[in-house]
Amino acid sequence: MNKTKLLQSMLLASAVAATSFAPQVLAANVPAGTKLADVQEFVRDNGAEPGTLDPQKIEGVPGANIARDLFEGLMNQARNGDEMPGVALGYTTNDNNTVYTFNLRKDAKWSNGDTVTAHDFVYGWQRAVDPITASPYSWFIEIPGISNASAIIAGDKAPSELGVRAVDDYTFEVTLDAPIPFFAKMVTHATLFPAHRATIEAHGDKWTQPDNIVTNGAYTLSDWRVNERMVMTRNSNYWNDSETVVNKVTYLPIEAASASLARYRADELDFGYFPTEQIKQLREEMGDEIYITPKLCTYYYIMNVEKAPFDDVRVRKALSYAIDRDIITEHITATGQMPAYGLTPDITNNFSPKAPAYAGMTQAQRNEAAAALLAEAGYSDSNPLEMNLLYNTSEGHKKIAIAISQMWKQAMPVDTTLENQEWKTYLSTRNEGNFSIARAGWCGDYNEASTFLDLLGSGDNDGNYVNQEYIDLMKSAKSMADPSANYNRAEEILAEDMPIIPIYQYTGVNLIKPRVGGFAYDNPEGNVYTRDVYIKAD
Amino acid sequence: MLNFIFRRFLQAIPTLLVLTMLTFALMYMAPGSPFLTEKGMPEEVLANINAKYHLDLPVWEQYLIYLGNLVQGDLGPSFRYLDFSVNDLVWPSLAVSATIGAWSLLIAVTLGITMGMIAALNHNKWMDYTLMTTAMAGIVLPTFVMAPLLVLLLSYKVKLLPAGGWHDGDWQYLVLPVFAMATHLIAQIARITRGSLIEVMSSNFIRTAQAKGLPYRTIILRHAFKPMMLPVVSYLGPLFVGVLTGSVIIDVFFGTGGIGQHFVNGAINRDYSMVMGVTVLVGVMYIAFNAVTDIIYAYIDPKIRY
Amino acid sequence: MFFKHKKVAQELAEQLESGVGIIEGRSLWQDAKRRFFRNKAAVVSLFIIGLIILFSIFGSQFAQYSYEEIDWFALSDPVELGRPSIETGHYFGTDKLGRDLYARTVQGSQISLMVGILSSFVAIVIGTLYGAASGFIGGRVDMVMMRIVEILSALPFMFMVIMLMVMFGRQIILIFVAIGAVSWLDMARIVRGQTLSIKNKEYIEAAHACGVSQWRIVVRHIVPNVMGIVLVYASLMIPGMIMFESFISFLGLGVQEPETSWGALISEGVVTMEFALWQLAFPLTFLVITLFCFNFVGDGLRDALDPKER
Repeated sequence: MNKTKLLQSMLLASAVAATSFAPQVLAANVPAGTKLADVQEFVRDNGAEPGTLDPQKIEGVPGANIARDLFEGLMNQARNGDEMPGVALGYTTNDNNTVYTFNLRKDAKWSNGDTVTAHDFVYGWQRAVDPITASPYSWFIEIPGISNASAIIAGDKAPSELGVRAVDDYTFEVTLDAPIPFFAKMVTHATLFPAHRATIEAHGDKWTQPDNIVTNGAYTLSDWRVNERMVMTRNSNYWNDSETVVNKVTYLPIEAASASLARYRADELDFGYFPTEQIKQLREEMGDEIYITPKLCTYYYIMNVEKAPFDDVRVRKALSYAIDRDIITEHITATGQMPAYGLTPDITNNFSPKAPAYAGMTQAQRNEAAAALLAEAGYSDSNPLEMNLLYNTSEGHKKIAIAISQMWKQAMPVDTTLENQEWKTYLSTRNEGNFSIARAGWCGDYNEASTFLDLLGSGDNDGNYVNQEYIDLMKSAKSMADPSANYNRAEEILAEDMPIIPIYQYTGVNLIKPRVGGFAYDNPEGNVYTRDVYIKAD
Repeated sequence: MLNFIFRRFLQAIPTLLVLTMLTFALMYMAPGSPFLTEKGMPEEVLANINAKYHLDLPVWEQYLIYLGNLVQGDLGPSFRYLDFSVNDLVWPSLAVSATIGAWSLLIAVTLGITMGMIAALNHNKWMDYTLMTTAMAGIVLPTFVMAPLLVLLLSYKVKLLPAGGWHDGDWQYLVLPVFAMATHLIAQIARITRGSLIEVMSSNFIRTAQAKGLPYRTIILRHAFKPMMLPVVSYLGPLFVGVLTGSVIIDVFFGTGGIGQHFVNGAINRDYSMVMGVTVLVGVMYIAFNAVTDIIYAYIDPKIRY
Repeated sequence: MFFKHKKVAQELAEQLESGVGIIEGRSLWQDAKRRFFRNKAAVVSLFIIGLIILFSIFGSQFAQYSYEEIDWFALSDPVELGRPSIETGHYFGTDKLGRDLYARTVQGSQISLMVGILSSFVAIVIGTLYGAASGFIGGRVDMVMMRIVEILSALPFMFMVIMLMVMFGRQIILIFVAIGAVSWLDMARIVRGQTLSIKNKEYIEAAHACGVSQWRIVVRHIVPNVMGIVLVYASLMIPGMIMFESFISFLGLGVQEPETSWGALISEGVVTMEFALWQLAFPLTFLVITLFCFNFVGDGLRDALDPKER
C-alpha cells in the first residue's frame, strides 16, 4: 500500500478527517557542505513556446512548466508525485468527501505585496469556467465534478454559482457533486491556481505581459521574447523566498532537439534535450548528464473498430500480437521506454494491473498466434490484409511505423501503406474517423488510472469503440473509494477486445549539467519547480 | 514618376483584396481548425472559444470583420499565442529577420556581383571555373546541413560564437545566422550576374564601344553595368522579400525569434489571423518591391515604358 | 589595344557580310549542338548525369537488399553493424533503421531526379511563356498578369500544399504540380523584365513591320533571346527543387515512406553526422555531383544557344 492510498483510506475512515502534513516545505534542499555558485542562474529548454501564461487557460507542458514557477496553487507536488502544502497548509473534508475545506497560509503574497486570499482562488476558479474567459482547459474543472461547473461552461448558470466559496480570507471551500478520491491531487494543476483580479480586470488579455503581470509563485516575469526566450526573476514577496536559491530563470522555447543539444554542448543550457538517435554516442560523451525517467504517458495505435477489417477482433488481436515491442523500445526509441501491453502505464499511482496473457508469451509464440488469427479471419498470401497506417509527421513516429509495418509484413500476409499527415490534418482525419489504423499517444492529466481509461469510457472516441461493460465500470469507479478492481477489469476488457494496440510507455529523456542540484527530473508527471534548484560551484 | 506610383498604389488595393479573399478561403477549406487538439475538448468549451474569436460566424462574415480590422491596422488576436495580438508578434519578429536578412543581402550582393562579374569577364577560363565552383558550394549545402555544421565547428569544437539566441541582435549572435543565410545567396546572385554580363558583353553596343577604342573600365562600368543589372534586379526583387521575411530553418535552429517560424507554425497551428497577417505583410512587400523593380527597370533602360 | 579593336571590327564586318548566308545554311539547333559539344566541362557533366540516371534505373540490380526491408541485425547497432561494407552487402551502410542505404539511395535518386528535372521544366515553360507574353503585350494585360503573379507569390504556400493533398490524395505526380505551380512565378518576373527591354530592339520592330503575328514574335524572337538568362536561372532552380521536395514531403504531401528522396535522406543523415557520417555523405555526394553537373550543362547550353554568338 503506497502513501497515497494510505492517505485516502485515512481520509475515508474518519468522519471529518483533518490532514496535517509534516512540516515539510517546498524549497531548495541544499545538502550540507555544498558550495553554491556565486551566480545563481538557471537556463532551461522548455521544448516549445507556451500558448499562454494565463494559468486558467494553460494547456500543454511548456505553459504548465512556467506556471509552476510563476504561480502557486493550494497544493504543490513533491518530487515523488505526492501532494504537499502550497498556499494551503492543509485541508479537511466532510464525511462523504464531497466538501473540501482548505486552510490557507496567512503569509502568502502576490508579487505586488497583496495577500493571497481565498477570494483569489474563488475568482480564479470561476474565471476558468466562465464562458467569457473561453479557456480551452475549462473542462479540467468538470473532471472532479465541482458543483455547477458543467452548467456554467454550457452557459446555463452564472460563474458565481460555481461550488467554491471563501468562508473567510484564509478558508476556501469546494463542493463536489460526488466524492472524487484524487481531488487533492488535481489542485496542483495550473487551471486551479489563484488569479489576481485587479490586474486581470485592468489589462484584459494582456495581463501576462512582463510589465503587467502579478504572480504569487517564487518568480515573476521580467522579459518575454516570443520564440526566443523568457526570463524570470525572484519574487521577493513569495512566502518562502528565503529558501529559494536560483535568482534568475531563463526558459528557451527550442523546438528542435538537435538545436537543444547544440546549445547544451555550447554551455548555453543547464537543462536540454537531444535527438534520441544519438543516445549511444552521448552516453560515452556525457553519460552522467543523461537522465531517463518513466513518464505518465502511453504510445499506442488506435483502430477504427466500425470499419472493416478492424470490426473483426481477430484482425485487431493479430496486429497487436505481431508487434515485437522489445525491439521497438530497445532499438528504435532506445531511451529506456517500457513495452506496453495495457493502456495505463505501470507507474500510475494506486494501480497494479495484472498483465494480459499475451504479454507473457515469447514473440515467436505471439507471431504464431497472430498468423493463426489472421488466417482464421480469412486473409492469406493470395488475399492479404491491406490497410493504411496513419501517423502525424515526425521522425520518431515515422521510425516506429516503418518498423511495425515490417514486423507485420514478416509475420503474416499484411500490406501496410504508410501515410503521414501534418499535425492538424492528422487530427481532423482522426477526429472524423477517416482512418483505419492511426498512431496515438496520451499523457495523464493527473496521476490516476482514470485519466487513461476514461479515454474509451464513453462511446465518444476516435476509434468508435463502445463496450457497455467497460463504460459502466468507468462510471461506477468515479465514486468508489478504491476503484482499482474496476480499473483491472477495464484493462482486461481492453486486452480481450483490443480496440487499441498499446506499444510502449514513454520516458522523459533529459540532459542536466552536473552543476545543477535539486532538479526533480524524476517526478512522474514532470512537475519540476525551479525553486527546488540550486547551482553548485565548480 | 509620381503618377506611376499613384497608379501602382491604386492597383494594390484590388490585388490585396483578392489575396486576402483567396487566403481566407484556402485556410478555411483546409482540414483542422485552431482549437482542434489531440485531447479534444467538450463541445460547450469549444463553443465558448469559437464565440470569443467569432469563429462561430459564417466565413464571409468573419472575412468582413477581418477586413474591417485590417483597415484600422489591427491584424487580430493570435490563436496560438493567446496572450498576444498578431501585431504584437509580427513586428518584433520582422525586425529580427530583417536584421539578419539585410546583413546577408549586403554581403551577398557585394560579393555575388563582384564574383559574377570577374567570372564573366574571364568566361570559360580557370578563374571563372574556380569562382563559380566556390560559389556553388553555398548552394549545394542546404541550410539545414550548413547550420548544424557551423554550430558544431564554431560553437562546440571551437567555442568561438554562441550556438543560438538573439539577445537584441548583439553581433556575436548575428554572425552564424547571417553566414548561413548569405552563403546561400552569394552563389545565386553570382550566377545570375555572370550569365547576364556574358550576354551583355557579346551584344552589339558593347562591341561597338570596343571598336571605338573606349577604355575597358569605361566599357564595363559605363556601358555594360546597367544592362547587366536588369535580370539581377528582377531576381533581387522576390529575393528581397524572401530574405526579409526570413528562413524558418535559421529561426528554428538558431532560436532567433524571427518571423520565418510564424509562417510555418501559423499554418501548422491553423493560427488563422497569424497566417492572414504574414500573408498581407508579404503581399504588401511583393507589391512594393515589384513597383520598385519596375522603376529601376525604367532607370536602367530608358526605352522601357509602362 | 588598337590591334584588339581592329580585330573586333573585322569580325563585325565579316559577320555583316556573311550573316545572311549562315542563318540560311545551318539551323539554330544544329549550330547550338556543335557549340555545346565543343564545351568539355558541359559534355563531361552531361555524361555524369547520364551515369546517375542509369544508376537510378539499374542500380537496384546490384543491391543485396530491398529499399524497404529492415535488417534486424543491423538495427541492433546501426553505428557499428550498419557501416558501409562489401561483406554485409550494405555497400553504403544502412540508415538508422537498419535499411540498406545503397538501395535507398538508388530509389531516392529516381524521385529526386524526377522532381528536379520535371518540375523545373514545368516551371520554365510556364514562367517563360507567361513572362514573355506579359512583357511583350504590355499595357493593361501586363498589369493584370503581374498582379496575378503578386497574388500567387504571396499566397501561403503551406495551405496550397495542404489543399492539394486534401483534394487529390497521395499521388507522386502532385509533387511536380505543387512545386512547379509556385516556382514559375520568379521565372515569369525575370523573363518579363528581359522582354520589356528586348521588345524595343530594332529587330522586333522590324518583325512587327513585316506583319509577323504577335505569338510568332514571342516564340521565335523573344523567347530565344531570353533563353540565356532562363538557362542560368534553371540551373539554380534544379537544386532548389530537389531540396524543396524534402520540405513538401515533410508536410506529408509527396514522397511517403518507405519511398525516399535525396532531400529526405540528407535531412535524416544530418542528425547522425557526428558518428555515422556515411548516412549523410552518400546521399549528399550524389546531390552535390548532380548539382555541379547541371550547373555546367546549364552554362554550356547558355553559351551554345546564345543567338548573338552565331
